[in-house]
Amino acid sequence: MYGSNEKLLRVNLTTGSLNVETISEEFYRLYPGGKALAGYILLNEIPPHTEPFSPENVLVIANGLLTGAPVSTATRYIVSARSPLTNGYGESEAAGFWGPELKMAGFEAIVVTGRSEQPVYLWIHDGQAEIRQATHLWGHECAEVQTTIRTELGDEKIRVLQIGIAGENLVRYAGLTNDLRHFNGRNGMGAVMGSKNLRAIAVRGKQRYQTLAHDSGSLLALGSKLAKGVRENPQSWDLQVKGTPSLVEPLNAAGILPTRNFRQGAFEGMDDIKWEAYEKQILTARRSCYACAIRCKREVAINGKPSPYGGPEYETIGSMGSDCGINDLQAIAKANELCNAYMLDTISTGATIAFAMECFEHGLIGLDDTDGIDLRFGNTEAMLVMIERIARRQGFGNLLAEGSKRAADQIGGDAHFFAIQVKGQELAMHDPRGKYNVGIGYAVSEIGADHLVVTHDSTLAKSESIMFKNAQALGIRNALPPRLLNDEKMEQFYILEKWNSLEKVVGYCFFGPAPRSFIHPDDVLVSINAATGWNLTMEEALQIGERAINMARVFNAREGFSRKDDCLPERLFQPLENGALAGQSMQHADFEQALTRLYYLKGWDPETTVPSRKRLEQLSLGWAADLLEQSEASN
Amino acid sequence: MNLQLGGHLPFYVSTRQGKLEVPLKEPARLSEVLSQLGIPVSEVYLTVVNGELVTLDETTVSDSDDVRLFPPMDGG
Ligand code: SF4
Repeated sequence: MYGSNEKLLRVNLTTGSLNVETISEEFYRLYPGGKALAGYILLNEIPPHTEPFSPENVLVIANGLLTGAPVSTATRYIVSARSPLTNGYGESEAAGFWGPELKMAGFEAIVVTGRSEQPVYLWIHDGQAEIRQATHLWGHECAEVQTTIRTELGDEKIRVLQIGIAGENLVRYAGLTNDLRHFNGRNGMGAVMGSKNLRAIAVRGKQRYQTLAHDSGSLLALGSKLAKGVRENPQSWDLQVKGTPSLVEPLNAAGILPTRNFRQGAFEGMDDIKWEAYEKQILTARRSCYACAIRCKREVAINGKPSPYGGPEYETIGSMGSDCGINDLQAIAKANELCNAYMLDTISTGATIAFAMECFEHGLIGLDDTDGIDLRFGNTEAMLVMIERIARRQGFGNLLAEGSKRAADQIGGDAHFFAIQVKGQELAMHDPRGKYNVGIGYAVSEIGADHLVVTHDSTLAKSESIMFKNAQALGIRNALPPRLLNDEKMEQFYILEKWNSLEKVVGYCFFGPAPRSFIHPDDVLVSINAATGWNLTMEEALQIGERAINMARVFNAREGFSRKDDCLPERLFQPLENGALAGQSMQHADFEQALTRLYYLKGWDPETTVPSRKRLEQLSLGWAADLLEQSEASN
Repeated sequence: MNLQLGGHLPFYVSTRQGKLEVPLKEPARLSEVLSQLGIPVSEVYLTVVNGELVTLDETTVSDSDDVRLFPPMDGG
């Protein structure tokens, strides 16, 4: 098989066994890495109703089909397990250098089961693997751990994927980081790894990708065409020059910059946290991921001191900034640094603090509950202290470490109204009241509120725009307004969701392929086919994406999720308090009608959202229908 | 006219800078001003003139105006 090492590393931390499993091409064509491979393993190997922190939960770390290819943005790997935040199918992707290094070390994926008695880390190099003790790493910040591992293994080029103190302490939204600057933030995958007493996975490989590819000449030619193309496309040019902080001002102008726990859509302190302020106050350099010509990553100095953890992305500026009513960019950068040093998801951390701030302002909690912290919107010091306490599960931080949904259950009263989450996961910093398909994405996403389910509506609202024209290759026919939900909008959703899912299978960063960015969909196919020799068509590629979505849905169905879980926080059906969309909200009836239409397109029962056997068989997932029937029979 | 270009819109001007002074001898249709500057109207999602959100096609601007343009933005 071309484009793949055909090898999967199986690690049982209870027994300490390490096994290498071979993957066949027949299997790989259906589940070619990333989300698809992870979905298959989770569904087949995690027994129904397994506790997320039990040794029986399975942690899958899987490269995408193209991860490590010499093509800009083909950098991502997925971390997947049953999520302790949602209790459903869990996943989180990250770019950086670790995934490509794993590929060069000879593996496509790592499957971790069991639990070690003592803290350990994995050391993988050139087809070899060993489990090493990590007691000396436990309790230390990520930067220290990375340095220690590189020093003791005697190689500065080792790539370290690790959890932090938050994962050790089972914070339900603890993540993973590689190279200290790239994050599998969402869904609490770091806590699952922590529950297994696995602190890190160090990797080094010396293989070259070209030796795996079917047609490395075409792949290299495409890679160099794309490297030149970055500065010829406005989206990728913007990502290179400004990065994601570029989003702050336009979203504020559109009235959808989440502010004070999504009550407002415009932030009076926006000028202090927008890109121009970032550039002036904290930016020191631009960095990249493996072989990526976009270079959207930012290096920063906080109050003059260089940070080893990179600079805040838009999501963090929103969650720690406007959503908490904070306009101090140095403090936001500090919050980002703290989260990354302890490895907390910045989105869920900021959003959970914003939730607590609103509870505090409404008197649902007081100084007695918060250990004397004046948890008001805009209190920078309070935000920074809470991050520490969440990571260490100290005092009130222990409650917030459970996430906003569980914290709201404990606090009681109206607190649940202030928990801006879906399936237990906090919304990212995109207000769907200005882009309805993003709201549908938050609702139906199997991992809880996720902003990367579909292309955001506004980018496809003008038929002459570059983004819209690129989307036509996917079968998008008409430009539609962002604040509209109708049958055609759901048809677009159905296509775009499959496309984004394919990106998670293939390992492309979301800032690579069109319509979000500059790699035309046809070139995405060229890259897959050059790597594998498969001659995949667009229809087949989209089917791979759909297959991965359906496995995640079946996983959730087996855990008892149903239509009531595909919902949105009530706040989004209430009017925005200020900004360009003041007084505007989503409408319940339109939302429900759109969902019904979407389930019909997906071949899912609109009452239960369970995929039909017919659709599963069309997707070569008849075995998943069998699994569902077996689990229904045993319930 | 003071013109500010947000997001990726500076891509379309030769200096690639987001702030421009555009002298206007007399009031002009904004869409025409943009077309002379090489900024495609199809890439403009929001138009803010003197702090007010307006519809680009219907807008006339004069030299004293403050105009901010933003493209459609996706996730990040
Ligand atoms: S676009 Fe940015 S995040 Fe994505 S691979 Fe390139 S440098 Fe990394």
